[in-house]
Amino acid sequence: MSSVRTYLLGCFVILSACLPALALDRPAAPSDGGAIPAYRSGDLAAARTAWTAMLDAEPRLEGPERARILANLGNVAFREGKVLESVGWFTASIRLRPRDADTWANLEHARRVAKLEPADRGDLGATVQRLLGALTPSESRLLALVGLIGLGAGLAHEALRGGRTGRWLAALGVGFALVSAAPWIHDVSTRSDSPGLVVEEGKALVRSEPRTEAAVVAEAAAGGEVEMLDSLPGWTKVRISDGNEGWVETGEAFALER
Amino acid sequence: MNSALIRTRRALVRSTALVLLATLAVAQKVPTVKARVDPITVKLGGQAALMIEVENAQAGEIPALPAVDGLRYGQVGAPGMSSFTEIVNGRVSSKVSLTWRIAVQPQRKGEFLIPPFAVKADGRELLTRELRILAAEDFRGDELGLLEIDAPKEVFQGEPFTLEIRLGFEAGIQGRLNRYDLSLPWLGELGGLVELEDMAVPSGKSAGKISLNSRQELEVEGLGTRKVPNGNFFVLRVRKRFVATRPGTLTFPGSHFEFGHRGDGFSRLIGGGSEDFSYYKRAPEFDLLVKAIPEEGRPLEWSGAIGKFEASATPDRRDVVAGDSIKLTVEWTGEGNLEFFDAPDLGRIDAFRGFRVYGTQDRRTPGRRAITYDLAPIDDTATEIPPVPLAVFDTAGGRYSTIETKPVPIRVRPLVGATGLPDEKSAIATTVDLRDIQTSSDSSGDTPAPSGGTLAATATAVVAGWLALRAFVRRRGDPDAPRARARRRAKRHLERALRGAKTPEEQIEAVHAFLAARSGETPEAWAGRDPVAWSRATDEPRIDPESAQALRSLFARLDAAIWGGAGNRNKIDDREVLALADRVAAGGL
Repeated sequence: MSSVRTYLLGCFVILSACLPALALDRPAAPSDGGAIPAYRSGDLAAARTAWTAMLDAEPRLEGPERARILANLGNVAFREGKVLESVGWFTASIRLRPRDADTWANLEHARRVAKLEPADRGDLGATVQRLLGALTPSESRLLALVGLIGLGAGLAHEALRGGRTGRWLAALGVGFALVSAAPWIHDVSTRSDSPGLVVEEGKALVRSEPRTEAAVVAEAAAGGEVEMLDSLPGWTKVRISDGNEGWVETGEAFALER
Repeated sequence: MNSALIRTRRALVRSTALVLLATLAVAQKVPTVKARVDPITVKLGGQAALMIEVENAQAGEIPALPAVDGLRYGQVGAPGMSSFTEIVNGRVSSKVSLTWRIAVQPQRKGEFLIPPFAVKADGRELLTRELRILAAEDFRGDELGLLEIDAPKEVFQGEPFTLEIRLGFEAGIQGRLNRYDLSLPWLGELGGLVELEDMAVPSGKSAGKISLNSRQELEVEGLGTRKVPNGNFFVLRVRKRFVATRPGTLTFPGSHFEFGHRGDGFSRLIGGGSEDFSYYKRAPEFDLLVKAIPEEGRPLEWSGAIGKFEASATPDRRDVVAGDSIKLTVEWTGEGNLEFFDAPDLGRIDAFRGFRVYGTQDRRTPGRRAITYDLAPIDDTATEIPPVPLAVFDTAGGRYSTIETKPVPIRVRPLVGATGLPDEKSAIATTVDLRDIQTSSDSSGDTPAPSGGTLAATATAVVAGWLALRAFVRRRGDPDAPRARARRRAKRHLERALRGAKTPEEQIEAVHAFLAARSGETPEAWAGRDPVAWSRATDEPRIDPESAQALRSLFARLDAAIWGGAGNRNKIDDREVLALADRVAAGGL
């Protein structure tokens, strides 16, 4: 067997390990029904009902289409005067479609009207965060897969040819894989299972137990992100950024996983 | 001195006064020091007081007074502290000042100069100016001189006032005098008193210049000869404007006017000329009561104007088309701080809603303030230019009032084919709003991507595959060993050698080198070797029989070319050799 054949075989063996990862699943996009005419005519309640029904009817609907509906619900909430809730809808939409300029513009406008800090403060830290979060979860996983393919190629060369060049290519493959996986790693490390946003005017009172007489153990500022841990009728258990946990009234926290 | 130069100098002085007041208003918290000697002239054996005042400081000390031969200081005690409210240019501020009073006694007659010395205030070190004190056995000439200072008895804070200083000497000695020095020890050294621009000497009335405080020159106005009880005196006049910035009593120390004769150096050398002499005329100290501006009744729009004013308004034209510019000159005259109040902003006055105000031009002179407003009526409904109001503290009545210009009737003709200037408020204002909803369905769906678990499994598989492949390859030896590398590069080297080969000998050497690299032997091992016999001799034939036969044939043809004589020394086609090399390598060699 010639060395060329061995080399090609080796590459095929390693790269074929990546193929199972390319499993596709794409649900069909539903139609907006009467939501758009209702919004245009000023019937915001009907528009909200229609778009919410679309989300509920297609729980597996993902990506740009779901993000579009979430953004439109943000417009509805803003026009209804529920500015903080609209911040929640726009934030949820951006999590699914982080490079949509219209949604970003609406989010920043809503935050400005709600007198919150901009979502993108423009400093170095915020810019890096924005860069790492510029890909959707799917795109970041796909990019990580591309990085793995590069890693496989580098390792295959090292296995078949060895030597200093082989080691350099293997190291290059590792570096490429790490850089490619950075958005996915960032996504995994920062994404909570059930994120939420405080949408109570000013601040939400975090109580030790799910009743209004319970002691207030912390305060969560409007626009701050929380992790939603549990729920009871009328109450949601949250963990706020400083690690404190407690209960807030359900309307005060907006679930970002929609 | 020509008039242009005089105008330039006045402008400079005016600017300096404005900058001084602005500096006072802005940098009020910076400690400053003032020092003076009171009185500046003493009889031998008498005492003067060294007055030092530091403003805007909570604590201070005088580390040491400079030693001056023939001058003895009294004890330096703790400073007195006072706080007050100051009004500068209509702006009110609170201040604190520290004051030292130190006795000074000359031990001999003559002039003493106290050099600048340091005063520490709130950690800063401030320097006084040089001070002068004059001691004499006797101050002659009181009856020969004239020094009178006319000052108002009381003024309001921020209200400008004028001191008229008249000085002179007996007319009969005028021809013997060549030296005149006016000493005003309080000038520039009295806390709460800010000097404004000098009042100009009327044209043609200047009597020349005299020395002021022995360090600067002062132009004086000649009033001619006047008969006074002591005789006929030649009288000079100086007028200075000031503004008192803090309430209370301002005490002006005594001043004096020294006049006499001093010969020049040449006259003294030859012993000629008249004898040097000095006469002194002193004016007593006097007080000025500064009354505070009342808070009660102060209108919100008070501009800082203090005094008694009159206002007038003059347009440059009264018959215009809507939108045309009208230059309205508003002039305020009278006694007061005309230079310093904030001019009314017509754009904020409701009565001027029918006008567009484009800009102003401000001219300030003592006794007159003129502002030219550039106005344009928006449409043809305006029939007059409304009165221009100014909130003033009237020092005569002691209360606030508003003075107004008279309305000026105008005619505004409509623009042909237009209704006038667009109303600023009716102009469409743009604002930021939400972007519209997104109506087009995005059927592209999410990017197809593996799940996180699949990615982790793939990463594991890649690493495992690498380890397995590595182990498999290295069972046959290190792929990076020299022999393995030479074997991989054999074909490339053969191509290069054949391209450079010019004779059959060089071709056969290239083929030997190729076969040696592939078989792991030296090229000499292949010299004279029969490939067919060699391949049969090994347990696992590394060259298939056909290739071995072809190789034997190649060797034979190359040998024939080498040894066949001059007529047969032709090279074999490189492509044929390379094709055979490929066959051999593919066969496993």
